[in-house]
Amino acid sequence: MKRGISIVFLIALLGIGMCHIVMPDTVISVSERRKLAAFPVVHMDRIWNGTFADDMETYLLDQFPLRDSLRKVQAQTEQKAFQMADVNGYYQIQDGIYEVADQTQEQYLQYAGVGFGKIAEQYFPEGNIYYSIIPDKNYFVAEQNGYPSMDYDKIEMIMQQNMKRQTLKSQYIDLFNTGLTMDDYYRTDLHWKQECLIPAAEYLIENMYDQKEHGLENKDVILQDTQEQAFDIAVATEAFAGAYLGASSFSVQPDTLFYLDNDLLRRCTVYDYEKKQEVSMYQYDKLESVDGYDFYLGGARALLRLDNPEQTDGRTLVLFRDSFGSSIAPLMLPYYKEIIMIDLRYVTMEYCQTQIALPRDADVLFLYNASMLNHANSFRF
Amino acid sequence: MLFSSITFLYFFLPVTLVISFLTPKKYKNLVLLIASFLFYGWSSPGYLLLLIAVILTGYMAGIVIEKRHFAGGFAIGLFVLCLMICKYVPWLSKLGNHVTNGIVPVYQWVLPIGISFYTFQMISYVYDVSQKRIQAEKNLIHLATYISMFPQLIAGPIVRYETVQKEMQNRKMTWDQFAIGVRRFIIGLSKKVLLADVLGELVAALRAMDGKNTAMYWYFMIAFSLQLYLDFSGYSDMAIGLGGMLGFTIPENFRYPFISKSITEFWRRWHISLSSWFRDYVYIPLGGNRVSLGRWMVNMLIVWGLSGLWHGAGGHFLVWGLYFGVWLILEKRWLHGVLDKCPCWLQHIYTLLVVLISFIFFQMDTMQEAFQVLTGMFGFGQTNDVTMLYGTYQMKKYMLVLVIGSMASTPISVKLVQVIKEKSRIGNRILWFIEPFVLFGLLIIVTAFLLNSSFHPFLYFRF
Repeated sequence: MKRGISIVFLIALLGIGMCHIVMPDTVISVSERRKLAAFPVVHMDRIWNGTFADDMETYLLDQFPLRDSLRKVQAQTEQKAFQMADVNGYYQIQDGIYEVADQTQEQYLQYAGVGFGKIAEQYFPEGNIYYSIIPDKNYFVAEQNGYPSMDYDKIEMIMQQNMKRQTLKSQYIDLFNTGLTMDDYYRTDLHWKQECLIPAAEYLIENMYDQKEHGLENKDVILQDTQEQAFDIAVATEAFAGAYLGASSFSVQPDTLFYLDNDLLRRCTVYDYEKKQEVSMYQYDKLESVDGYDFYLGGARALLRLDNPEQTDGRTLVLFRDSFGSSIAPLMLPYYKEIIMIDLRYVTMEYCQTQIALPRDADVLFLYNASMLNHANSFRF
Repeated sequence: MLFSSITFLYFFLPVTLVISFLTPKKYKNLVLLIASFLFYGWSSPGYLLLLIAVILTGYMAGIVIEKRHFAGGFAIGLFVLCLMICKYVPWLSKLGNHVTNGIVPVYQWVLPIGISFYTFQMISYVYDVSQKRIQAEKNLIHLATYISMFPQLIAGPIVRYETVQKEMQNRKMTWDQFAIGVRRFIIGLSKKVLLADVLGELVAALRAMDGKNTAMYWYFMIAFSLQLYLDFSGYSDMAIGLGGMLGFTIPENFRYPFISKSITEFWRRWHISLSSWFRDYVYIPLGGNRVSLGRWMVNMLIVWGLSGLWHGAGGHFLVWGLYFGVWLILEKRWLHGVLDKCPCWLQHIYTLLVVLISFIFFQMDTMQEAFQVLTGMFGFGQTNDVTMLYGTYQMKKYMLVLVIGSMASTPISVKLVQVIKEKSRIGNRILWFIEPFVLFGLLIIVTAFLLNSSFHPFLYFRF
């Protein structure tokens, strides 16, 4: 038996090492949504200062045989054997996966509020300024299941105080009490589902149209006309493995990703200022990328313009957004001539101005997920 | 290279073991020496030169000592100087800079990994040769292999040359010894990766919290104490296991220190190789306990002060060492009789309390931080709602790991296995059957944890 243990131990270690060498390297880990390390460059300087050894270890970790399966073993051990409430910062309730919320970061929220306010004052002095916060999934489940959650009242309060300090005319649109539920979000991802967003989109539009400054006398007619244009619901993929599924390694079935479409949306165009070309509103090739949610408008794009050919004399909406905005923007497009979408994580206002004329009297909506606002230090003001 | 790395586990180790097995006896040490140099130089090739210089100095000193006795003292002085320069000059220069308002320049460099361990081994070798306890090793390969042997090179145990001299000259690699080594290695690796590293996450999370209440401070220190023990004893287990696979008998370094009933007993169970080193190479040469009471107390404080400083260059390490020195003086002179009369549970609580408090000085980076934790543990901490929410969550999350870690720091599981083996034939057969599955299951789980975790160096590497 002892000889057996010894031989099996040696063969196991050698065998795995050999597999590692023989198996072809993988470039991207779809489940972890990241590039995997490639074999490090061999150079005397790098060997001498130890970076080659560090890079080699990273490479061996990334390219380890059966990596995804072993990551599941780790998740199962922590969940089942250690009874840990979360694994790598993710927790599971029934078949839904959630990320443990960070502490409320007041300084970043202040930074966001002040930055938004300054943008509103500087670039849209005659515009109608709105801002809204999208609840993250923790809002619906964390507290009642014993998990920490952000202080949402505080987030709203800090944003309101700092926006008001910069621009008195900004209006807050409260999305927390609009009937959004946990079912409106993907089980395996952080995002909301487009097919559930029609009420939220209409709520935003109605609130923006309700403002006196808007001056649209035919508001009700436009709302009525547009709301009557029904959307077709279609399946993009039945195997949408969201960001949380890969990061957590939990054994949960993937989601089905739907999208909404109709004749009007099909006639609308999307211009990507990074690619300097028109792109599709729904991009099938992105379903195979590291983030399937990029299906909507290509995901994290710095500057987009959505044009509605039916509203040639309508208004412009400038939408400051994160990835949540990609799925809701098409549902708001019927009400506007154009929607300019700006992601402040990737672009500054100075750059935007060199690319596109920003109407000073536009409707402006700052629409961000609560969790993103809590990490607003990545915004480029 | 770390034991808990893929590079080591799946490439370096199997290749080294197979080559060692296949190599004729005559060249086994040479193979082990080359492997050890590769192991050490893998992530810091520059410091390999320092290691080689220490080996050559010790080798020459050993040979010269037999003819000229003073060479021993000279060589030991060189090793101490080398350790001083590498480890203490940055701290002392910083201190000097602070005291002299910037007149003394600050020197900073990275501590060569394992230097405290291999210089101590070399000092013990040279001293033993000068005391004629052992003969000088004439074979440079043997001596170099002893100093640089990768299982114990960077975090001990501190092995005396007399312990491995015979095996260095003539050793057998047997399947029995190899299998025992495999078991010990996997158990040590599991202690480190599955328990110590996971507890380390808890410690880091609690440490990062601005305001903690009393319960959180206690939880934090208990978690850290267990992390430290499981990390270091896990490393020692791996070293002993690897030694076994290669045909060496590396001495035990830990014997369940948390079950001790006094501080004296604690230090007979914690980092045994270091305690015995200080006893034999500092305490006894200073006169041991065969001196006046005052001198003995001074000796004790010197030894424990040095022991503290060995663990790290910093005032808090010195305080940590002296703290134990004071307790040991108190115990040996006055408390010994009182403790003996106390019930067993009270003796355990007393020991754990003294040790737990000592680790505050061990863990925190400055004395100020240490006092903050100390006062926090005794009710002077300040907390807020957010810290309460997140702190309580973290404490609940890691509760079971803490319990498992506590169990692993006692001999309960070992005794249980012993009882089953002795009392039940069927139980014995079942254990015999499931042991390989448990071991390889652990290896798979450890690998899974390594793949999904960030870098976790061994705590004792910084010494």
